Amino acid sequence: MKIKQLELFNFGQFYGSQVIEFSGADKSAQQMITVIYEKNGSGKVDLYRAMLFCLYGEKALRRLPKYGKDENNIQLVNGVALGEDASGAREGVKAHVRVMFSHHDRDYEMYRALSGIRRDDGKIIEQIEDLKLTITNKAGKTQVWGLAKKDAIDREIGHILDWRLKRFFTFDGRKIARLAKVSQGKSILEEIKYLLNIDEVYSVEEAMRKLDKKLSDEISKVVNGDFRSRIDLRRKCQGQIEELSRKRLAVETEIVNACDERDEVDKELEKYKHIASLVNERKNREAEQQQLFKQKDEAAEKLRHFLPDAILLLARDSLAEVYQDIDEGREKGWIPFEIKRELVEKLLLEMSCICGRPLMANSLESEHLRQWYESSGAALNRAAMEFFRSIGNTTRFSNGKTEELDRLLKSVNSSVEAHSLGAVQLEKLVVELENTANMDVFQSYCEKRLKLSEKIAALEKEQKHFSRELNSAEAKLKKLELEVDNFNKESAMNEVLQKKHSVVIKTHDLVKKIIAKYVEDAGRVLEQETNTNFVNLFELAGQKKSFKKVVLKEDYTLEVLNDKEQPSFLDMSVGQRQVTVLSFFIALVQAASGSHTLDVPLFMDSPFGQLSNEHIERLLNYVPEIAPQLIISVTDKEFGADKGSMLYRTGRWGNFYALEAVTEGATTIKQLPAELYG
Amino acid sequence: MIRLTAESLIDERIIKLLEHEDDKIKKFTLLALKLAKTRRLPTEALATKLFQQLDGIIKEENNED
Repeated sequence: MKIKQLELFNFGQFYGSQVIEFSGADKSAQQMITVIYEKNGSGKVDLYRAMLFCLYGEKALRRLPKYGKDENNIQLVNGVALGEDASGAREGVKAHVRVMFSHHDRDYEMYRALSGIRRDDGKIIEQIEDLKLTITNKAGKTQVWGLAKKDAIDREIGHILDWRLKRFFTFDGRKIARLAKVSQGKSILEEIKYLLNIDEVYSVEEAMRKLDKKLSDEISKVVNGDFRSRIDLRRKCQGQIEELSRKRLAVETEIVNACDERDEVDKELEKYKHIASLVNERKNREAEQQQLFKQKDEAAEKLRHFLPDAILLLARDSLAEVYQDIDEGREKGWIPFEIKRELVEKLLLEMSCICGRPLMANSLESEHLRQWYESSGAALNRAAMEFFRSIGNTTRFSNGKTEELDRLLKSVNSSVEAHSLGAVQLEKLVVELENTANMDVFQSYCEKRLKLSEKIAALEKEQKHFSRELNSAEAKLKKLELEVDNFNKESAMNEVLQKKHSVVIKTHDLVKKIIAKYVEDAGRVLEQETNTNFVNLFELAGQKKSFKKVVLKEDYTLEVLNDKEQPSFLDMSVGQRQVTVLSFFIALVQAASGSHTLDVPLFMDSPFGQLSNEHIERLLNYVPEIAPQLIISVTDKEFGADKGSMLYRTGRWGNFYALEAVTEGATTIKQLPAELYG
Repeated sequence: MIRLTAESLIDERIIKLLEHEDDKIKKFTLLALKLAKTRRLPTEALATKLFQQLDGIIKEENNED
C-alpha cells in the first residue's frame, strides 16, 4: 500500500480544505520521505486521526481490545467552522476525509464524511453522512461502493491494511521514550496478545474456568467431610484468584489508560509551552523571593540584636567628652581623691609618714588622717571610680561599632531593595500570566497531569499488592489441587462427575499451555525481528561490539546483552535504550503486516526524541530498506537545521509541509521546499 | 514471512501440544476451540454448550472401556 494523498475538509484542527501529497507514491520515486512540521501543537495528531477515521471509521487513535475509550467525547468536526455556523446559518457543518492510495496495481479512493452542529446548550452533535470507496483496476475499470456496502468496504480495507496495524499506525516517540524508561513487561505482553488475535482461545480458557467451578460445585454437594472441605477451599481459592486477577487487570488497564491520558495531556501542554515557561519563571522568582525575604529577615534580626549596642553609639561622643574631662582633671590633680585616699590608706596601714617618719598611734597626725579617710566618703569615691572606669570601658566598647552598624544597615538596605525589586518583577510576571490567553486551560491541564501522575503512582502500588496476593493464592491453589486429586483417587463416589471434572481441569491446563505457546512463539519471532532491526540501527563503529543482542525475557521485558552475555539495558544511554525500543516497535509493525519488508507506509510521530544524530542518520537510512514510504511528523522543538540537513542529505526526502495555526482551532497546511535545508 | 496470527487455530503447534494427551482431552480441546472459532459464542453460552458435550465424551469413554 502506498498513500498518494490525504484531503481534509473541516476535520479536527483543519479548517476548510487542506491537502497533503505523500512522497514515494510513485513506484519509481527515489524520494519516499514526507515531513510534516508542526509549530505549537497545530494538529498533527488530527492527521493520524483523519487516516484512521477515513479508513476504519474510528474516532479514537488507539483502542485496546476489550476495553475501549469512550469515542463519544471525541469531536471531529472543526470547532471554528462549528462556531461560525452556530452564530450564522445554523445549518450544521459538513466535514470529510479522503485518502487516495494504491495497492497491487489498483487505485483506491476512500471517502468518509460526517456533519456536526453545535446546539444552543453548547453540546456538539456529530453523525456520519457518507462513505464511499472507489476502486480502479489496471485496465481503468472503476467500481464504486457506498454506505450500503459498508461491510464489503470494511473487508476490502481490512484485507489491504491488517486491522492490527491500526495500533501501530503511528510510531509514537513519546511511547517509545516511556517504554525505554519504565517497566515494559505489561505493555509488551499486551502488544503480543493484540498481534496474536487469539480471542477465541482466551474465550475457551474462560469457559473452562466456568466449567471447573460448576463441576466443583456439583461434586461438593455429594461428598462429605475432608474431601468436601478441600473442594470448598479450592473453589474459594479459585474465586480469590479470579477476583484478584480481575482486580489486577482492572488496575493494569487503568494504568495504561492513565498513561495514555497523561500522554494526551502532555501533547496538549506542548501547545502552551510559552505559558509553561512563564509559570516556570514565576516559580523560580517565587523561590528567589522567598530566599530574599529570608535574607532580609536575617539582616533585620542581626540589626535588632545590635540595637542595644547601637544606643550606646548615641551617647558615645558625650561619654568620651566626660571621660576626657575626668582624665584631664586627674592628670592635673584636680580630681586626686583616689590617689589621696590610696595614699592615706597606705600611710595609716604602715603607720608611717610620707617623709618616712613613723606615725604614732593616737598621735594628732594619725588621728587627722583617720578622720579625713573616714569622712572622704569611700562609697562615693568607689562609685565615682566605677563610673569613670565604666565610661572608659563603654567608650572602648563602642569603638568599631559604627562600622558594624554601617555594615548591618547596608545589608538590610540591599536585601530590602532586592526583595522589593523581585516583588515588582514577580508582580509583572503575575500580571502577564493573568493576561495570558488560555491560562485557565493551561492550569486545568497541569492540575489534570498532576492528578494523573498521582493516580498512576497509587495504581502501581495497588498492582504490586495484587500481584503479591495472586502469587500466594496460586501457590495455595496448587497445594489444594494436589489434595483434591488424592481424595479423588481414594474416593470411588461420583465417578462420572469426577471424570468430567478431570477432563475439564486437564483441558483447562492444556488451553493455558496453548496460549503460552502462542505467546512464546510470538515473543521469539518479535525477538528475532527486533535483533535484525537492532543490529541495523546500531551498525555504527564501536556500538555494535559492546551490545550483542536483544532478548525478550520471561516477564516480557526487553534486555540487551553485552559481548559477555551480561544484561546491559540499564547501562545504556537514554538514546541507546530508545533505539532498542524502536527496534522492537519496528518488529511489531513487521509482525502486524506479516513480513520483514513492509508493504505499508511507516508513520513516525516525533521519532527523534533523545536519539543522537548518528542514530537518527542510521534510522533514516534503514527505514527506506524496509518500508515503501516514511511519513515523519516533527515539532519545531525537535526539528532544527541540523536534523533538516541530515534528512536532506539522505536524498530520500521529497515533500515537506508545515502545519500553521492561523487562529486558535484553525490550522492550514502549507507546502514548503525541502531545499530549505539543502 | 512472519506468522503471528493463529488463523486456523488448529495448526501444528496445537496438534503438537495435544500429541501426548489422552484421547478425550484431545477431543474436548479441539471441540472447544472449534466451537469458539466457528460459533463465536459468548463465554457463558460456550461453557453451557461444552458442559452438554462433556456427557458425550465421558459416555464414549465408558463404551470404549
